Amino acid sequence: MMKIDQLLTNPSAFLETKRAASPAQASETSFSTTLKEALQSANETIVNSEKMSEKIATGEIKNIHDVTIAAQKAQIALQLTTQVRDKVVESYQEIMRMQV
Amino acid sequence: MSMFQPLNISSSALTANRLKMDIISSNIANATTTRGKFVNGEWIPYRRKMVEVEPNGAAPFSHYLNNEMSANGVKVTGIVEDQTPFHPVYDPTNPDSNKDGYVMMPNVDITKEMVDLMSASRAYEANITAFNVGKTMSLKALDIGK
Amino acid sequence: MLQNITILQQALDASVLRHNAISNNLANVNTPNYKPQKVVFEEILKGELSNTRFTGNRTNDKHIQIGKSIPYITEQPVVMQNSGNGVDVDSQMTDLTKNSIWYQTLTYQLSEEFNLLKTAIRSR
Repeated sequence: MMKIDQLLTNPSAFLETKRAASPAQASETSFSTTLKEALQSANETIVNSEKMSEKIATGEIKNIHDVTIAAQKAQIALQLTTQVRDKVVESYQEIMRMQV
Repeated sequence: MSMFQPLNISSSALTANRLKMDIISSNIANATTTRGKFVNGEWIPYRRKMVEVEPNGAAPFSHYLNNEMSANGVKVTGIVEDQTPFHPVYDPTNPDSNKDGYVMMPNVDITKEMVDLMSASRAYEANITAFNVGKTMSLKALDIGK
Repeated sequence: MLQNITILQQALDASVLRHNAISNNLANVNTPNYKPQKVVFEEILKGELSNTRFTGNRTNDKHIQIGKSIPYITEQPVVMQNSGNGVDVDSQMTDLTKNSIWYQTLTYQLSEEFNLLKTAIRSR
């Protein structure tokens, strides 16, 4: 989740991918690793929310607000992920439409 | 600690106070009962009953040191009989009077019972308020993100 | 943004704990020798936010803790009634109301934080 946050506040993370073309820098933060990490943390948030659902059913929940907060975090993580995916697909299609 | 802990604490107090009010009612109802118990061929008057309470799940000493106190409500540990002496009343016509014409009356003081009843009733109300506040808070938690 | 959510969540934890402590005090209003409980939180949070707090390092669970970073319940050594009970019903009822309002403010604020994030994601 923190990674997505960085992506939001630091758009240069996208720009740096152009420079990543040279193999020496490829090992640093390429767009694909950033995206992968972001997806992973989003997935963790959602899995965490699913675990919470399990705990509600078994009555292990300590505080009710923990559940609602986990659910909201999962929702936001998912929304952000789909939004980023839409943008990526959109830009890919834009490039494909380009006349050479 | 479960998600219903706030409600459980208040409900334990509601139970305890209701029992207290029941016992006080019993004391008042039996304020003039001269035949409470039959022991060795003799009637003994009703003895005033009291409810003993203590905090539920008293913390061990180590919890005091480490500030790991927990809140678990209240627990009724037992109902005990008041061992103060009975009141002798001069009434020779009473079938339970002794040879001097005195009847032993229960050690129930109506005024004291009424004061205890009011105290228990107020405590009951206070705990209902706490229960309702806990309910409102729990329901508010469900509105997060709406 | 996410640090805010964590802080609000901790405050909610503390608020529930405080409600439990106050309910417990009200439940034991007629218990002889009962000492009222209170929850320590604001001081801890302020210390954490300004980095002026320190906690003792424990090498064994049996050691006494020096400083704690989570809200905890503690006892107040006061006496209000002849029975040795220390609960002041009026102040407890006031604290109950205050705490409820605090909790509701926290949930409102948290909702707003989430809505801000959602708006940020949705807008193009």
